[in-house]
Amino acid sequence: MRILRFLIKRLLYLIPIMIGLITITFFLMNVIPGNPVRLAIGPQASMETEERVRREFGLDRPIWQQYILYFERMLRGDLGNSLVTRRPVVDDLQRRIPASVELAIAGMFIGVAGGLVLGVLSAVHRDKLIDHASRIAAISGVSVPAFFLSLLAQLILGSALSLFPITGRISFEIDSPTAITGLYLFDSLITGNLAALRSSAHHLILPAFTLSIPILALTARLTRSGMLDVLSQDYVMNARAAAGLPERIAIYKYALKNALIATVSQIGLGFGAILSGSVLVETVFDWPGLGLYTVTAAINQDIQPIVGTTIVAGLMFVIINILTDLTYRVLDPRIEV
Amino acid sequence: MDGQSQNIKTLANGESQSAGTGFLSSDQRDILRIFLRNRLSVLGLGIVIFWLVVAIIGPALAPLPPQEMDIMNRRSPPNAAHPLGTDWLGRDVFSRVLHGTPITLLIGIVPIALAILIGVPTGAIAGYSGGRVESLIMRTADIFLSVPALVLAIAVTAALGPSLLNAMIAVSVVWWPWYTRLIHSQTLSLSKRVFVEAAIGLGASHRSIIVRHLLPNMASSIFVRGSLDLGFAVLTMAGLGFIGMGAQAPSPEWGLAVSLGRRFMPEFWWISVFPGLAIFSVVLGFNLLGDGIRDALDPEIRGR
Repeated sequence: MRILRFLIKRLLYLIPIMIGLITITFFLMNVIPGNPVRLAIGPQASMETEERVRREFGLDRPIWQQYILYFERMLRGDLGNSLVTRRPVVDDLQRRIPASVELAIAGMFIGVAGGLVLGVLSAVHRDKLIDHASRIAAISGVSVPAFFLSLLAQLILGSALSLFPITGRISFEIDSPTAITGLYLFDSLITGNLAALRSSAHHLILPAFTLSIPILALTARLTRSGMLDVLSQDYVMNARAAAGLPERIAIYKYALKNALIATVSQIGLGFGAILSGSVLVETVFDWPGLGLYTVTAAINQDIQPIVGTTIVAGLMFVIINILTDLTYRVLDPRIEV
Repeated sequence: MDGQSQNIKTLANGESQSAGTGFLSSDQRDILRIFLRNRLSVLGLGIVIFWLVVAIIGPALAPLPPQEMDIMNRRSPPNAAHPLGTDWLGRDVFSRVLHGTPITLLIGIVPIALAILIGVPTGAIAGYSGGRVESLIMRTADIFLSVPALVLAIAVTAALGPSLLNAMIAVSVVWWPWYTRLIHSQTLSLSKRVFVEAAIGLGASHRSIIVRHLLPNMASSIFVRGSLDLGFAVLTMAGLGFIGMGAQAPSPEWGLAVSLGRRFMPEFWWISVFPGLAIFSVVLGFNLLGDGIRDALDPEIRGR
């Protein structure tokens, strides 16, 4: 019951966040000096088109009426059209979200798994060589620019060693798997399309690995400190000193469980890093997701898709945070709901 | 840090200290000792000082102007004349990295300074006034934090038009809510403390309570957070430069340099790799230094 109440409270909180996001994007499009119509129709369009569009969008009306019109448009799910793709932004987003989600899940998975291993090794061998090495690796991981790491991965693992393809989601010779969810790995597995499965997995590894690095660093750090918190308590230290091997393993398991809870509580933040990082990683690997879409739109001053991705990325981020908070509370009932 | 009790402590045994070893109080000596004990923090300080020196004297020492083209030697690999090679226009990569250094440090510091300038007053007002003003400010901060940093920064830069200045504005627009939250929570906890209540009881004005009692006690938190954020700011700004939303050609800004050199990968790798390594080392230096400062000033979380 408590969990349900928490969930409802957080879901209701989505409403002011949505209102806020719509307001911010309205502000970005209209209040900032510049010509929003020009931005919307592109520099090549004629004066007549500009006038027509101005009236169509109600831009000749007072600003508060424009705001209400914009708000209604957003609530209808009308995010306008993209200048570059010449399609409704909503259609473009639907096509691209699965690619980003697949990359984000893979990156998250590699990051959390790798970070857990590194963190546990660090905590168990505190102040030994492996601890120092993994801490230096972790701080390097959050210091390297995502776009530079992508380039290095392409240069070394892709070009020099020819281990992985450098760009795209799947080989040109192979057809995309029948779209069910849009996640290539999942769809090709379900339809038993082994060629597509192998090719898409092969394409996924490099970008997912690059994207996982900040999460890996964060998880390693949290796991290490979470475990050390438990292991350094007096009664645990005594128990550890007195225990035989099986008991000692049990103590480490207990410490790890504690560390996992701490890690889950922070993983929402990590997801923000994934969403930000994917903008750069997708650009370098030519991965047809949300990030590349935003960058292409930004370079072309194509404002509608930028508004669309801002709102969608914000919603995704908030929902992920609700889910991680929920998991955290299920795992650790001591937390006040 | 508890500045007030620190002051009282210093007052209590002030004489013996000032008679002792010079200008540092014993607390300050403790902080310095903890900082210097950690080799990684010292390494971070060293890296940051190195790049600061390069930023100041580097452009003067650079063998060539950043835009000078050596048409005969385009895309030549690292050699005696060009230690880091030349780019596709025959410009010296080493000289361009040196000329890009002050830009990179500036674009790290300016957005964080702007974010502090917005975040500190809003946070203090929210925490101090409470009620509707508080919820208006804090809910606005929440909304800004609900969009992933780089995505919002791209949206703001795109709306303002791509340029280095607009990218800096965008990063501070993305980052101020963190300072608002920090100052808000600190104001709430400090307001309940005896010395603030005493000042209120003595009839001090709101302004003087905020400026003379609250802010000085938050200085070290702001400093810690700011130093931890510098690396983030450099990364975000370089990222914006990389996708063409920050510095514009022919600027020697490093993120832009990595991006433009990408066309010539993998054969002419040095055009992108050296500016990329430079970004990495600056951010690593800031992060190591920030961690060290936090550990030294905030004993609660030391050793994590």
